[in-house]
Amino acid sequence: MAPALSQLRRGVLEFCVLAQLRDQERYAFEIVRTLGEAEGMVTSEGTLYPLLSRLRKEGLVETTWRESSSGPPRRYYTLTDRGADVLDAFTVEWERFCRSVDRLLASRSTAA
Amino acid sequence: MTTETLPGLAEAYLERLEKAASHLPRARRRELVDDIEAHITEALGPEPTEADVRDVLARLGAPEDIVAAEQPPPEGALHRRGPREWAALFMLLFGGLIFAAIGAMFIENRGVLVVPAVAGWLVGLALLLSSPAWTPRDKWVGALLWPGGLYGGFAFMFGTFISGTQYCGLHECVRHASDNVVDITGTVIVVLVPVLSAIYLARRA
Repeated sequence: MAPALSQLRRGVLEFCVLAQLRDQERYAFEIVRTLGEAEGMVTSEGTLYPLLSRLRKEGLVETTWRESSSGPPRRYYTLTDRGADVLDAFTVEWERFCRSVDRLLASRSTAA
Repeated sequence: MTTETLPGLAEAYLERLEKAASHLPRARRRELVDDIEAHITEALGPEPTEADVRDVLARLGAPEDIVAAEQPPPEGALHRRGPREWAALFMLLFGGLIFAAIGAMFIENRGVLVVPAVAGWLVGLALLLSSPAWTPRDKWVGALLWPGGLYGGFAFMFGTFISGTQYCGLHECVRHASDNVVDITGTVIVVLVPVLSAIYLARRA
């Protein structure tokens, strides 16, 4: 049970990161904290940094350094066009998938 | 980073991360450590208590887990510079020269020295090709730039000097200024190219 869930989580994590950038740019700390505070999402916040780096390498997000009023410059992440396409496609698929899983999980009452 | 004084706990954590990431390419390792350092700085605020620090580090997770989340390294990158790689670089560069010098102690005919020279370079080439630390492209670079290593470079250099003297007739030597330019640029190239190629290979491994 637990391994299956963690596999599932690992699979959807990158889309959850992309979704954070759907309407706005954010810097890494914000993204990481948002996901870290979402229940059951990430156990080690630090593991999101390799993921962010991979998304950038794959051209799904872009980064720019921006001065911050409080402290060192921050690296801001934005969604690329390709990243937005990937996110939209996944969102559609995911909703379909979720409906199916929900129906199947609930089916014991009707099938009995 | 602007925070000169991260708490000792955080410093130790970053050191552990650096160590765990030692197999990553240098640029990626730097970036990862910088990212995590920025995260800690951001999370801690100006005057954190020890409990704050522990909390932030606990949420980050073990450095080893963070590194494990890196993409599996591309083939070849698992192997880094070891004794064999250093030996390969050394022999590619100097193998030809060394073997030719050894040969010169036993062989009178200078023209035959190319044989031990090539043999010395081939040792380097064999080490290069058999090493898992380089990609096929790296190996092509190492093999073609410059065959013979520095010996090949010097051979080329003397070759151009010799051909330069062919301009000398019986009565007068005619050397065009352009020949000197060719010799000098040629010399620079044949020495620089093997050296740069060796540096490239050292960085890629």
